[in-house]
Amino acid sequence: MTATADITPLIAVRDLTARYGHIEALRSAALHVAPGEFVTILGPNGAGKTTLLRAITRLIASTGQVLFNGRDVTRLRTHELASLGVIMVQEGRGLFGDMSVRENLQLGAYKLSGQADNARQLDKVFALFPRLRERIDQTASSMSGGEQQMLAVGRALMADPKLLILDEPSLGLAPRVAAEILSTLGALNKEGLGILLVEQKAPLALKLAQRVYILASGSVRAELPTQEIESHHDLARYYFA
Amino acid sequence: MTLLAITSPRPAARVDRFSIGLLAAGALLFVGVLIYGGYLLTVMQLAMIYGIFCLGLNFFMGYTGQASFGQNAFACIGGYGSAILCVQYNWEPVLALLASMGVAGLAALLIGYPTLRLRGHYLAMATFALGLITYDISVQWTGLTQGYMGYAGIPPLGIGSLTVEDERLKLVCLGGLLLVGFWISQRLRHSRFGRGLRAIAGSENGAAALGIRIPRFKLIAFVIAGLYASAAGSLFAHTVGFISPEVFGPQMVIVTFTMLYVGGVGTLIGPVVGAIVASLLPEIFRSTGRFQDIAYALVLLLMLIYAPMGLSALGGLFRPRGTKGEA
Repeated sequence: MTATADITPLIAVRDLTARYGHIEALRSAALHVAPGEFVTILGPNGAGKTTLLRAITRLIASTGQVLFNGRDVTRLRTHELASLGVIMVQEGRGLFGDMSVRENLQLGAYKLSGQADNARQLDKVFALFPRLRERIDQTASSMSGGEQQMLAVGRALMADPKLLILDEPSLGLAPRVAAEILSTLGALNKEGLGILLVEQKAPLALKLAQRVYILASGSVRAELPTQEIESHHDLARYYFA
Repeated sequence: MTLLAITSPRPAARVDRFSIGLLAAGALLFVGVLIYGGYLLTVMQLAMIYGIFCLGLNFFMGYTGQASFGQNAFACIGGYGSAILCVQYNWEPVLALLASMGVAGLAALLIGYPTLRLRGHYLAMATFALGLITYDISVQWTGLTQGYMGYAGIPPLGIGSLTVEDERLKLVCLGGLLLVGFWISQRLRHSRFGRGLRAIAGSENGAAALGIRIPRFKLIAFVIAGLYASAAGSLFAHTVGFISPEVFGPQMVIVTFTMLYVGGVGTLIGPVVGAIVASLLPEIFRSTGRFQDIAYALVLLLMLIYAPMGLSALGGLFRPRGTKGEA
């Protein structure tokens, strides 16, 4: 399951460092996601998980290198990365609350040109989240947390991503709803979508992912296949090592 | 900022019933003034012109959620462009209006490109400076603008020998142009481009993460606002026949902001409703004599307290809860 060196990774991050003022929130982080791989990043609060994702998608300034399909994309801007197929579901969903479900989804398909593409993606998303079809003309902010998260994931899928990056999609959701959304990600990954997931709900994420990175105090502490993590005790050791 | 919930599955019914009611009330007022005539005709003419200006401003401030305190600069370009071309060079008014729009659009592009890198208060300050600079130029560059004297004898709109001289006909023409401006605003708001603008207002990071080129979108919105403002400036010149620096001074910023916020910033019909209401309201209090301004200000205050999102967002109060979200 682990990506071998001779496959060009979907995304490879080298020596990524990001600062907020004087505080180094991310120190020389390195990771990669192979095509079709499901990778999760675990770590305690304040470990730099969100910073790492925001640095990868160029939402914050950073030093280091990011390669997408072997191409250096370090100098690209967020919207250019998005058009390459690197789509992030942000922490707190980042929905446009005043707009309808339909408009949010249409914005997701912003980079697709044709109406036909648009409709095809919409059908795909509705197949995954039938609830969204029922709510199509409701404003996003009027939906429940779970529905909003479905919309956030659905909107990201509208862009037909090559790599889907998710920042704590289960945050603030009831366990059952969180499980539903995370298992949808598992299904998407089985169809070949590369996924990079930051998650606090470790057990669920570990079940789905093939590899896990442990992040603590701004640096990558460990990288290991998920089957090697046998107990929470193990995990805790990595967290605080 | 809450936008008007326009979430019907049928594109034809994108404006909700409350908005249609407000527009109908506006149309009734329009017809009433048309029949009544007199001084109110001029007030309504100016309301139409301000409405066009506010429709443009709404692109930048409402849909895109950016601050510009300097759109009067582009109205100034439009007004003086029309005045100079028509009075000095005997241009056709329509040609002068279009040429001025071209100049204003180009100016917006050149000014917007560096300025729109700023955000929030800084952008507000920079655009405010733009308006002040333009005002100063219109006062000081007497060779071009005739300073405080201004330009008189600007011909009314018209094509060839057909000129719009009658006050009622002027109002009808301006009303028609406002509708054209409204139609463009409506079409663009629901286009891919319009959704992009509103996404920027929602969250710049979120919009960028979906692949929207934020600097370009802001710039286009700024230019559109400049074009509307220039058209409004030209129309003012041709309607009133006289312009001076004060017309396009800082006062204009305050007046148009009032209109935009009373009507509902970011909503489709807000600019039109706001322009009509804020223009006619002082006339209602004219009988109170020296208390006119106080009464006007009190009513504005009450509106902003009880309808903070503007009159056109009041429709949300009558909507069944949950079906279309909170207002």
